[in-house]
Amino acid sequence: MGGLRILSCVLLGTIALMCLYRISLHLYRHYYKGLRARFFLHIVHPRLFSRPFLLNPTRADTILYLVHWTATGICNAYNVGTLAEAGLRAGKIALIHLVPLFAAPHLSLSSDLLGWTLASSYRLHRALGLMAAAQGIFHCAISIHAIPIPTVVGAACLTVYEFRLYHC
Amino acid sequence: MRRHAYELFLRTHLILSAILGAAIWIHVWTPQGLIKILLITASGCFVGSFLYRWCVQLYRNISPSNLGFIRIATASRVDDGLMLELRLSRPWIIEPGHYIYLTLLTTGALSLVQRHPFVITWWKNDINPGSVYSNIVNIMIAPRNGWSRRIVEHTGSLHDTRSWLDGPYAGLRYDLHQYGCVLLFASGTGMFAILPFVKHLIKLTQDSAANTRRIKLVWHTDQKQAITQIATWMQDLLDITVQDKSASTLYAIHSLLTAVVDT
Repeated sequence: MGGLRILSCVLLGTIALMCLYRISLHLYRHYYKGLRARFFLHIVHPRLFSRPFLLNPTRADTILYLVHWTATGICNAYNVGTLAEAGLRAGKIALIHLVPLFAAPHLSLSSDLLGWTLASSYRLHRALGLMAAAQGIFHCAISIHAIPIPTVVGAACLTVYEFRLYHC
Repeated sequence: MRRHAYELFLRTHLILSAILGAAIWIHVWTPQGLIKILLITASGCFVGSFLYRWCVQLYRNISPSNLGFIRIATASRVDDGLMLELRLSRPWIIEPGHYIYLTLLTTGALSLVQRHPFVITWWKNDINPGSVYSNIVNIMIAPRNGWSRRIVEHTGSLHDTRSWLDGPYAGLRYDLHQYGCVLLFASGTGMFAILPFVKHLIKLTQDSAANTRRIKLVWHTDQKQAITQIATWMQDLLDITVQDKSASTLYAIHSLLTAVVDT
């Protein structure tokens, strides 16, 4: 029975993959260029606001930010019972976001090795840094009874300072 | 604000990052599984990328056979800007869009700690012209405030100055060779960033590796010396295409100077 299952999975899986490949190829040949052009025209290039503003990301950036912040928010809240657990979770998430920032300090090198443009690396660096800062502040705020208030205020001020310099 | 305080931002960002990294090490270094793995991963990648970058820089900048650093072969004013021709200690493979970080090893103590990115505008090999490796690269420096303005004002003292280059790094990536007709627009010194793509396209066309048959280049400028410089390079490109009699390629370069203003 086990052998039959494996045989049927392999056989049907191969046929399904071949069908998927054919459909993908058809879609790519007939629709890719048009969809790609529309995607760039309506999603990638346009800014969120028509006039210059303090923060005016592109629509694609906005969507990615929303997805990122929603997913991280779910991770923050999932299976968390107490406030202390939430603080600890926020600290771990901040650390996870800081790993790529410290792992690739030279953005030109990392974008070169990964095949990205420098602008994409800057955007990723900024998004990860913002989230790490937000999670770090949340972590500090929860653990405020153990950390002196000036430390928390100082961290928040430094975050705002970096944010202002980077975005203005 | 960032544009005006770029150096301030860069330095404070690095200092604050270092403080943050040290604080995190002190704060969260515990024998827990995930945190320990994250810290070791981040530290390992940081050290690895740091060592890799500096090893590559040392290899590319210092050549024991030539006993020397990269030096500035010529420094000439092109209108408001400065054109530097750098003689490399080892030959590099240059592609369009490549940029380098330049540090001058003289002209004041502050110059040693400053590194600025510049797009490679032209490259060649004066020893073996047919080689894919280049031993001479040109960069164009437009004077802003501070370092760039200072070196533009001291053009005469730059000859044979030792330089330290970090790179080349890939910047813009455009696969222009897949198009039959390529239309390029440039204004002012932006031409110096576009020219490498034209050179690369012509090289690929010569090798029958490009679909491109026509290149149209529209350049709007009022800089007379820049026109002379670009015209010299353009002529080199056109000479190459004339010599290339075996290739059955048909391409044309139209340069249109739409507003040359007498000053």
